[in-house]
Amino acid sequence: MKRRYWITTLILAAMFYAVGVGSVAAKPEGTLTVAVATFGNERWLPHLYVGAEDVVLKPLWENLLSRDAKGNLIPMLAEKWQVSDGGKTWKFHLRKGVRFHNGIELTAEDVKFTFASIAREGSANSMAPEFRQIKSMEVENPHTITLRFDKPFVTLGNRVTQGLFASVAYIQSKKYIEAGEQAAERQPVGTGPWKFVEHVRGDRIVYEAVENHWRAVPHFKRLVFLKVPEPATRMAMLRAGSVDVVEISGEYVDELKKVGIRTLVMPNVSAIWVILGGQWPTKPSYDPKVPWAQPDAEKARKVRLALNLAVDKKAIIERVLGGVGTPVGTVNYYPADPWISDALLKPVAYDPARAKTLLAEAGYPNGFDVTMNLTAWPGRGFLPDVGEAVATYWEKIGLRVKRRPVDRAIFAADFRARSYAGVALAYAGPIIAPEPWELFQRISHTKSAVHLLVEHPKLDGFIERLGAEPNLAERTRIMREEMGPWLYEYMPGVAIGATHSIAGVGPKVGDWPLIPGHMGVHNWEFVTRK
Amino acid sequence: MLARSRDLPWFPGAILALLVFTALFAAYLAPQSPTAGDITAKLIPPVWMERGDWEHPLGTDRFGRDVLSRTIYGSRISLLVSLIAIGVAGTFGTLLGLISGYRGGLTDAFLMRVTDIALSLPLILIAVVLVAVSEPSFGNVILIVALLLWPRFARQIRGETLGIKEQDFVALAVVAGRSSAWIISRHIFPNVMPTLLVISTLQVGYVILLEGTLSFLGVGVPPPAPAWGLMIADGRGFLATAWWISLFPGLAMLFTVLAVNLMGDWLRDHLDPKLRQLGGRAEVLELLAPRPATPVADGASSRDAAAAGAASLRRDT
Amino acid sequence: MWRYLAGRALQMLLSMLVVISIVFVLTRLSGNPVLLLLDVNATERDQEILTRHLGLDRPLPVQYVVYVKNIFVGDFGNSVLTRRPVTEHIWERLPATVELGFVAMAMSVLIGVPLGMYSAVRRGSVLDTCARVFAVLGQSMPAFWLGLMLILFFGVVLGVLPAGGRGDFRHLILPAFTLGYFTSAAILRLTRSAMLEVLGSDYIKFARLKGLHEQVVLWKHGLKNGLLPVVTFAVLLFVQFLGGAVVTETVFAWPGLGRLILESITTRDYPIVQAGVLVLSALYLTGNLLVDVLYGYLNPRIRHARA
Repeated sequence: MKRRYWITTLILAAMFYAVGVGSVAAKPEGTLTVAVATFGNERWLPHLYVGAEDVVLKPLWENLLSRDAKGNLIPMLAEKWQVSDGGKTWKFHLRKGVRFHNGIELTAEDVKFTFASIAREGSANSMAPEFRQIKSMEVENPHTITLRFDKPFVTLGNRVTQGLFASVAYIQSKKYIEAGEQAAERQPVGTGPWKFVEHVRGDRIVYEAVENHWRAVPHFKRLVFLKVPEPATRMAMLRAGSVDVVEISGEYVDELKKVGIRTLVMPNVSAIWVILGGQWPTKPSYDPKVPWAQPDAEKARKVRLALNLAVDKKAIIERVLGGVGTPVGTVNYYPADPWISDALLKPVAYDPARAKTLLAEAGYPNGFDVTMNLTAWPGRGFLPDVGEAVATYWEKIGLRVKRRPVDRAIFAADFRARSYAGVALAYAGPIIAPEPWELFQRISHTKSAVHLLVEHPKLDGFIERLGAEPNLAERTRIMREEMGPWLYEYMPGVAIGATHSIAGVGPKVGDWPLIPGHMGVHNWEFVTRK
Repeated sequence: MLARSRDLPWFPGAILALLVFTALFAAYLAPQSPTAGDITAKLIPPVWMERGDWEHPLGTDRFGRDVLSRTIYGSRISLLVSLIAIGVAGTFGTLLGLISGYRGGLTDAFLMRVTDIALSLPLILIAVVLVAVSEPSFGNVILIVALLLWPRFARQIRGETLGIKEQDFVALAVVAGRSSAWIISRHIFPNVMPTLLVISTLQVGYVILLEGTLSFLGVGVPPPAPAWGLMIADGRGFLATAWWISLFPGLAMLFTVLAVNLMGDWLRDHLDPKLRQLGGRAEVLELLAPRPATPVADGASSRDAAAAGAASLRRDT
Repeated sequence: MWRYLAGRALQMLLSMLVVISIVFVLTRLSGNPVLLLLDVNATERDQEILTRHLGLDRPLPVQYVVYVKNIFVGDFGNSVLTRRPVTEHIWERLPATVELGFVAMAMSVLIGVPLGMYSAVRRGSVLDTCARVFAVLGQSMPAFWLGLMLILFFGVVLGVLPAGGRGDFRHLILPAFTLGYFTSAAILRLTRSAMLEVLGSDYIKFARLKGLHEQVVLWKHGLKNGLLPVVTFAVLLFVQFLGGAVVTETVFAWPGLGRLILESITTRDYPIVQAGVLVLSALYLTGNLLVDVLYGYLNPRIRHARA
């Protein structure tokens, strides 16, 4: 089998050489077939898709901005943009001459229409709450649009960018959708490097390369997504050559290596930590008996520190996640971030003996009972495994851990009702926003709808200051020198580390440039043929 | 009539005896704890391979738990789930079947409609909903399996009861003024016993597989319990690097189910006097024998067995 | 006959109503789809908006009555997740489901009947034992495991069959075998005992006496008479396969109805779960009714008994 590949490759290489290298990149050829776990809800209008399925949507559309290899915002459909009024006003200048696949030119009206659709009542789009903050949108001319907010929205750029997980403010055609939503659903059009060909629900989505695309002409002629929910089947299909790319989570990396399959690593895309539920002293469901959230701040911190010391993060990253990750000392800080420092990066040492001593000092010489929720999030199937591993470590310092496998739907209600005081669970926050406080604003501000870390006046203060600070350099400083050290010291959860996401790729696939921090396979148009 | 020793089911008998022995003495047989693990000792291969060692003769799983010990303890779970679930479903289904068959009329019509509804539900899917309502637990698995099984018992036992009811000794008992409860417990129940035993045995294999199916769908016995199905499902993505995680519990399951099914077949051949000379199967007699009942009830009962048989396939497994 | 059919139809309708009620209650107990649809940063207001939009803000009894009323005009509502009519979703999945169910049934019969016949003819021989063990083996491993092994062997090692997905007929072979192999043991048993009975009958003895070729006796006279239970069984089997293939559909990435319902359960897409389960039980009940009618019609002895 292997030898045959070699021979084929050699012959192909010789042929290409003979034909001349110049002609290789010119025309898209061949088919790239991809097996993914989910298609999301398989809708195409801006207010109907959720966003987590961005892997299959991204080829068709484009955003106003994108991110470069260093993670900086760069132009995409917008050539340039200005922020004024301390972040309350955003003005975007659109590129001229960009056309949708049906030939209509993209204008500022399309941008306005798309954003309004996302924010519309009953919208399924996960960005709806954020786009509902827009106070007004003014179209100055066909290529300029101004967005205004009541409160500063200093990181709006991150919401309208291509290079992040679930960044789905794709610009769609107003004229086309208004001419008929039914037709727009059956045959969606976008401005992306791939145009829509076919969609068989629950089974496949087929795209075709746009030759002469303004930004990037794909190397492959066809891009086919197959929905294959079972990971073992995805891997088998890749090995059998039925597909060229599979979406897979970190625990399978060794499995792929063993059978000689190349893995594509998208580094540091998701921060894993163990949530210690109950740290919400102002909420009705607060339970002062929860050891790590008790009113005695010093004892509570000792417990949290002990829970951290008991866990060997490095072993978890290496053993449970197949080494596709980096241990980090601070929740939701990533190794390559500009706001990280060596001190924040360093994981809390693995020291079970000290953990035991601390527990005794806090008044729990015989440990205590704790429930570990084992809940799998879509695309993060390794979380129950991480929870299991942490539970085993905690048992070694004398805790009695009850495992509770819970369906995500059931837990979603617990999340909002904050009815999980005293419960621990492994969680992984994907980079939906590059700056850590943006996530904290959603999940650990006193006023946020859920609490996945901690509720604390000090943290509220950081979030509010950062949210009103339009200057990135100053925000970086606050995150590095104030918020990070505070989090490290307070230790609200058990920070495990930053994990990479991976994909298995077959022999047809050549180079694959990636955008850092982007969870899920992307940049289909840049994948070269081998 | 005693079967000749040559005809005795030696192979399934031996395997089942081994299974029961293992389940009873798991605590003494297993070299390690089935649930305690150390992730630094994960995925150690079986002893005969490179890196293998005697501490874990069949290797360790993804959490460093001993595969041999888990497989040994797994026999307990398989046996417990089967016994309890079949016990519950068998009792309930038999009771319903006896009442339905003996009373006939409206009672029968009503009970059989209920059975029909239970059979018509795609129960594997309902199981997923049920678990979503609560959470995966050992008790839930039993509940689901029992829900799946009782209609089969009810159907078959009712069919048998219909036949026995027509016999002279029942008529005599009625004439003698015996109560229905007395007749059912003294005359009918002993006569359906062989059938009951046969169906129960044949369901054991199905139940063991079902545990695996439920684990695959994430609604089975919750981890870290050492259930065979859970172990197989757990290792299914690691066949190239760690085939031993699912192979050994898989073999245990294979041999157990095979043995139980062969045993069930043998029992069928030998317990049912009607069948002995035919070497045939209950459902066929059910299907072919004309029933001394009204045409409508006849239509229903004649395919009872086939339906119950088909229901035994409602696995998706 | 017509009265009987009408009675059965009425019973079926009542059964369906019970099924609807059970599923309605169960799904409502199983969690709120709105919480799953919303992002973590959604506010209480966002939650209210979506709940109202999906019609989930009305009291449960009202939702129930509206739902049942709409079913009678063929409206099963819209999917919570995709907002498309549920009927569309179900129609889309039916072809794949029927295709797989039919081929699986055919495969089950193709494995079970010949093996059953020969094991009846050669009763007690090694062949009999082998045939029976082969069939029972199919009932001794979970379908997901058998399916994966087949994929690895035929898809990866030999590379002769596709590893998953739906396409030409070659895509059907492995999933259909996975489903059909399990049930072939039952077909084998049924065929075997039916054949044993038929072969012992005067009718066959007479055919043999006439000096007909043994194969002709077996296939033409024997099978024809022993086939009835197998045919009825196969119909029931087909109905079972329609809803009972969740795991096989998942392993082989087969876009069938079972998987649609399964996935809808995980997202708490109530309308799809309700309608899907309803359709499956209706199919089951219809299949059973069909078998009863056919059976009464085809089996001479039952006809006799009635006359």
